[in-house]
Amino acid sequence: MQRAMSSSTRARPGGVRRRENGRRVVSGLTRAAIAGSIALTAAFSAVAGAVFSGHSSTAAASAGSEQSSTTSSHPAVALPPTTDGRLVAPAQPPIASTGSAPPVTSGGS
Amino acid sequence: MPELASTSFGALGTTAVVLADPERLVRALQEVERELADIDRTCSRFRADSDLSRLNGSAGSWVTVDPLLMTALQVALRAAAATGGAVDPTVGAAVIAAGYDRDFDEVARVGPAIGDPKPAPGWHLVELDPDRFRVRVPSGVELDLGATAKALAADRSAGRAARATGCGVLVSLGGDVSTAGDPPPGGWTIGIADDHAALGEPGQSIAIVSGGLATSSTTVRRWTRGGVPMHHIVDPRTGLPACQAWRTVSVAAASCVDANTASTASFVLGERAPEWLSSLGLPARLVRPDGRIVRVAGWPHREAA
Repeated sequence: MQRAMSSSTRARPGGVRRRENGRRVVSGLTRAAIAGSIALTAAFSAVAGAVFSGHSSTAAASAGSEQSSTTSSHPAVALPPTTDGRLVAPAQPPIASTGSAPPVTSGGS
Repeated sequence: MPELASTSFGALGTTAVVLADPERLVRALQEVERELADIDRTCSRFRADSDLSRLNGSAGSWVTVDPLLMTALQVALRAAAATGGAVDPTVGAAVIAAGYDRDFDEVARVGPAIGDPKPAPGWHLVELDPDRFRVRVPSGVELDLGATAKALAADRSAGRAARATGCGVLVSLGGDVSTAGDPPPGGWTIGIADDHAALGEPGQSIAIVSGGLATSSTTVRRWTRGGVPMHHIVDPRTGLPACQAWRTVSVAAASCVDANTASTASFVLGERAPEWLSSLGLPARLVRPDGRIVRVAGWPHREAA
């Protein structure tokens, strides 16, 4: 046991160097990962901004004059169900009906 | 489950029909009427006092609008994005230039030739500030939410009535159908026709269990200018009535808004519509001007005899 401890003590300077080297490597990788994430976030934001431009703008909201109106108490209502902005198919397709005359007609109006 | 009861009344320039449990129909009707009144007050381009009219006259200024109009604008812009601009709310000036410049009952059915058509300037020009309920449209851009606001009204009023009554409710606004709550056994039965008001017209009966169904047709809301037939579905790219690859298009979707968006876009897409609808899995029935029918994405085949 004693011998082992001595052996361990003698080996410490090399271990510290390796540990410090390892820390530097991990630190460098972490910084690179963070920088990459920021760059990807910026890239995705730019793409989203280009694809959905016109949907909203808060930065420019203070520009220009403004008109206002009485605002009712309607809560903001969620948009219809979406999948990446695509139109959404029904849970089940329609089925043919052979019953009595339907009470409602879907047609042009 | 007892038989369904229905009631109908005029709203938003068309006929509204509400179906529900007979015991709860009156309550459902009250909720639907309130919702439709709110939509008309905020989204009508035929009312000078609507939020939409005020926005259209704002000459490029930021305008604070009712949250309901903000929702309707978000829905309209989403429809534009989802259809690649085939359904575009900035088509207002084009519709007016084509002669549809007032409530359709007051539009002269015959008139002189129109001037140069006005293609839609593009939905990307509309700026929304949803957090502060503010909107800006460039000067000269006229918004027309007709393609999506009526369907939104159907979705909202059906949901509102179902929540208030605790039963299944169907709302039809001129053939734009939305359902909410539990369906009756066998689903909601709906007739399909060129004209929602036509009685006894040969067509098809189908049933849906949820979501919405919309039919767009160029056989209704027609007029002539300079001898040229016009209809209400305008191609945003040209500012003129869409070409007539189809006479009537019916689409089923998860909501009436999505169904109406797809049925309207199909006229602008023309021959590409069936492939586009199939790619989205939207069951649809497309009728050519000569009556031939194309069905896609699981739309049932059986037609009336």
